[in-house]
Amino acid sequence: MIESNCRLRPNGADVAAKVIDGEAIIMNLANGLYFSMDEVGSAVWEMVESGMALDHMAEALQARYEVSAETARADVGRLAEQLVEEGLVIVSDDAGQTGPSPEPVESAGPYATPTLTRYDDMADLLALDPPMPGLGALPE
Amino acid sequence: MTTDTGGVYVRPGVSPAQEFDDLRNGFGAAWASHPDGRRERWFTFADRPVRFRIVGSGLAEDVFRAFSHLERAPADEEPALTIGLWDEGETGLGVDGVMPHDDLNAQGASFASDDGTLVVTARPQTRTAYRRVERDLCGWVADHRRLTQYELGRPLHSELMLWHKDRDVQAVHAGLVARNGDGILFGGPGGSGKSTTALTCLRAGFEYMADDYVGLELAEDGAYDGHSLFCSTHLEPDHLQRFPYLVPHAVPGRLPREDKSLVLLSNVLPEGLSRKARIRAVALPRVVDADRPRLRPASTIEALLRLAPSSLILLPYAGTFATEFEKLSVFLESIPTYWLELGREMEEIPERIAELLERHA
Repeated sequence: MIESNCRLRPNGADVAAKVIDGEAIIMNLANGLYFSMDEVGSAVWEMVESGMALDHMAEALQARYEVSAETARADVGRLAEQLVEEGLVIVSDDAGQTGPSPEPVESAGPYATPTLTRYDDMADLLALDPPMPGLGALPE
Repeated sequence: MTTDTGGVYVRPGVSPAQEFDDLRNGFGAAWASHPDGRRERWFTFADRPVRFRIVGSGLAEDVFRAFSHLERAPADEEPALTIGLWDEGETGLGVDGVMPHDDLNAQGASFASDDGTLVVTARPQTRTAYRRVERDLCGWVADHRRLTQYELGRPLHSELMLWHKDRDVQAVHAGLVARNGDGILFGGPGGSGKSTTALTCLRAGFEYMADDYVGLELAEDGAYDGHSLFCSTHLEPDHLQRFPYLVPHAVPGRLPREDKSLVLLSNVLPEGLSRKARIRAVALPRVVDADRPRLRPASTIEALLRLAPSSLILLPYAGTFATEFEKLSVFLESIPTYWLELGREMEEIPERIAELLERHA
């Protein structure tokens, strides 16, 4: 179980994500899996990227949606476990630093339990061509 | 920086730079000693002139066929890419220590110099070395008759994806057809209907760029152009039967993994093939239980979910993955996106595409 004062961060260069219009897509280049998240989940992902601690994330959800503190904490904790299990984030090792506090926000729509939807249809296709080594941009 | 070599492709103690020198010298020796087997052609890749020189008439025929719709006259300017290949089977000339892999199904491997500017790509029957800064690619082919169907349909796939990327042309897993240069891009994973849509439109008189890979380039005016790469299509047997006009040209696969037939469209409707189009909208084909195809608005995130995974995971973007993902997101945010729900009436697909072009061209 991840401690509530911990922070998460995206897992390196193999993971990329985008949030558009309240939905998120997260891709893991290392294993070919990709994921989507609904509105509440994408809000949590943005908080992950901002370096917020889990307990602050729960507070932020409570401020933004009509949800109890208990439910928000449980949902954030469960989603954090899933993100770690899927290799999309890692737990930051900077213990004691809780990151930014939640800022006041306008109330959003009705709360729905955040879900991480997993797609594995690409994983089998990785074998079609040799994977390229980690190549950066062409030097100027 | 070696990935997944399985050891079979590595020559102990040979650096990527030495690999390039060996391949360049091998090509030079073949070119000098086999004048009858020399073939030179110029092509246009993403609006840029590319020069191919190949030693081996059979290999040349195989490689040039996949790009024949992009052929051009020799350019006065410096080529944006120079490619030299030779066939050991035809010339009898190899490279010390470089052996073909008997298992044609074996995965290849790529490895790079420490600064990433020189990339060696090895497959069971081929080995290439590409100098990214000099835009110079040399390669050996053990025997062109043992190339896989995948290699015949998309020669030098990884290497050319990388070359495009270095020119800021992002290869995306998509189809593209057009009318009068105004194009509709089809995004989606395998089996979603990209080929069905593109091939039906080709038959209906649309300009055809691709059903699988498109070079996406941001133009100076802020719009996006789509460039054709290969004129091949790969179809499963059941799928092929839905296109009777392609059946006589289909070449079945030989290997267990090759369950699709290869069709080189330059052999079928060469006048319908085109190099480039301005992209006006994105359609996301998906098969639904309906009689007639129909269009429905799609969100940007839905489009990204259909287009990004196969484009970014299958292509050599490691190292700049996040950047390429962002570029694709920006593209999709800039353009109308639709679901193209494919019903049973395939013949009506071109009408829906024509409707999209009327709305957005």
